[in-house]
Amino acid sequence: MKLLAIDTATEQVSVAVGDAERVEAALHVASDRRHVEALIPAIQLLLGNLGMTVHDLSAIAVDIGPGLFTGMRVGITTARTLANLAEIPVVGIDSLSVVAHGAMAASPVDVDDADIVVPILDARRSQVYWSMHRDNFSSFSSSNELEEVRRPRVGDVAELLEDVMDRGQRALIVGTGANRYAEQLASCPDTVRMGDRSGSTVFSFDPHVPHASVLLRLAARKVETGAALDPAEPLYLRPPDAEINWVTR
Amino acid sequence: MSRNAPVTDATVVLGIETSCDETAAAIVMGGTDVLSSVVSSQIDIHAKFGGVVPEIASRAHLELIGPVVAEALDTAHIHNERIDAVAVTVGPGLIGALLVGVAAAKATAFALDVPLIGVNHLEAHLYAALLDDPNLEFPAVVLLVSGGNTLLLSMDGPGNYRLLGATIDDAAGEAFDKVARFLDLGYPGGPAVDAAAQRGNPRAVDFPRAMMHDGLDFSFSGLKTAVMNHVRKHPDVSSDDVAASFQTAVVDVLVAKLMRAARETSARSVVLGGGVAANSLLRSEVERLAAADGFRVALPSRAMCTDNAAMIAAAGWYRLRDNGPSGLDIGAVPNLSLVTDTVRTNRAASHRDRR
Ligand SMILES: [Zn+2]
Repeated sequence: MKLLAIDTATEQVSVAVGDAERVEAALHVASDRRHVEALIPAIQLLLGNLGMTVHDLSAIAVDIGPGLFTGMRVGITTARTLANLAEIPVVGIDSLSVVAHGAMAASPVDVDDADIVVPILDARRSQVYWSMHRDNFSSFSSSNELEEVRRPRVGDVAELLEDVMDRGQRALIVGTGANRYAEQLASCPDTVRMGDRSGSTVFSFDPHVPHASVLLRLAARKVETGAALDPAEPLYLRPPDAEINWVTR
Repeated sequence: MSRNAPVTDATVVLGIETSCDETAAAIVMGGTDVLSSVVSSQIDIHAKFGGVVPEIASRAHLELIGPVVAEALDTAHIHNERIDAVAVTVGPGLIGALLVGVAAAKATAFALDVPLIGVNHLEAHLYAALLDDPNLEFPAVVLLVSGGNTLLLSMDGPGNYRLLGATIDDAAGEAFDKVARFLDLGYPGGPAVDAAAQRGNPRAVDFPRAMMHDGLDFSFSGLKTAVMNHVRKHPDVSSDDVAASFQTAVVDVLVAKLMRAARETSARSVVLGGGVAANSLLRSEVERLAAADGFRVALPSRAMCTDNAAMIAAAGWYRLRDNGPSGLDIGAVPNLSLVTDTVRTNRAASHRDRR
């Protein structure tokens, strides 16, 4: 029951192989948006080192965004194509859930201290993508799942602040958008930025970007519990710009 | 097919093309035998904008690429295991659109463990004529006219060509699109102008034939401006007459230079390619003048002139045979040029000299 997880929804190229319990191998490339160049060689390296081919996989997980449109499409196309050829399912997970669960993996104490986790990704044009997650401490679940309480959305930082304050809860903010707009977000009394509380906190990985190893665990749990699988449909959240390009046919 | 297997007449290539607004896949055997060619056009999606919207095109490619490849395999009665190599357009084209095709091709080549071949879209257009007419006689002169390009090339054989001339501003197809939009004739502009021109008088307006006697390069931006100025000055003029006169001006220049290039290079054949090669006046004029001058003519079918993946698979077959496969680390190159760097440098120098 090994999965391959692919995350190319931000600047990075991140891939991992494993199951819900164990990440067998993972590779994270700060690729400078060279997603299509780096992705297949990264998968090749990973599977090769494990002595596996795509035919040894039981499912493929992919980050469906929101994020960089071109990167998302490279990841989704690759995941769908590999899954189709290996005749296995493809599982779509949104980027904000990956960041929220990454925060949980990097510093469970920080997450425990907060009422909600708010992953924020930079959406450019002075906008951010965000969602909200609540620590779902059910005694019969040892897996520390976060429960999504606000679906992913896009908006200005002001809208995000309003959304957080409306909730009136202590929010742990994390993600590239939390870094980029740290100053504005600090004006909101209820927010704490991931990593700020204890200056000495050392994370095993950068919790502000989505990682395939986190995506892998989320997807593997879904597959193993037989939960309805999200189709790997892209989560754009923004209509396309209708800017015409004359270089046609 | 193992990575070192020889490339033969039985080698089956899956071609993938997503450089602009058509999602296409094809199965071609031995570089010439088209077992299937599926083209899913997004024309309807872009029509209301009067041009291709890159982000809309990229989103459509993502949804269409899987079904289109599946249909190409289905139509050809080919199973995945029978694919010997995967060829894909790496450029030129819209970056977001190209990336979808390249990602799909790389994943396919990797999963099936077969060679990947990155193909230049413009070079692939040269193989369309070969697909329709495998006995094409070389040397040939090829006029490649589309929305993105106006190129005149000499071709001595597959993979062996040199640039003779190109547009210095707008592509011919771009002029068709812009004039169609200005005259409100509809989208895409090529067929719209063609249809209006059938009803109009081609001698109604004497539009300029730019650079008619000056080398083998083209210029269409002045003609487009002349059309707009004329219509603004004569608001009551018939759109059909303007379309017919405009089309005649474009075709006059294209055909004159094509024939001159054929004479100067002692070509045996003249070949048309690209979306504008579907224009009825261009086709009939090339046939008439080539016959008069004793050249063989290759007018690929409309399906082969416009963007398709059969030409990508064919070009890929020749490239695999002659140059070997590409690496799995290749990317998309939106401004990929057809000509080698040497040729481009020479052309830039000759342009400077002229000024
Ligand atoms: Zn083309």
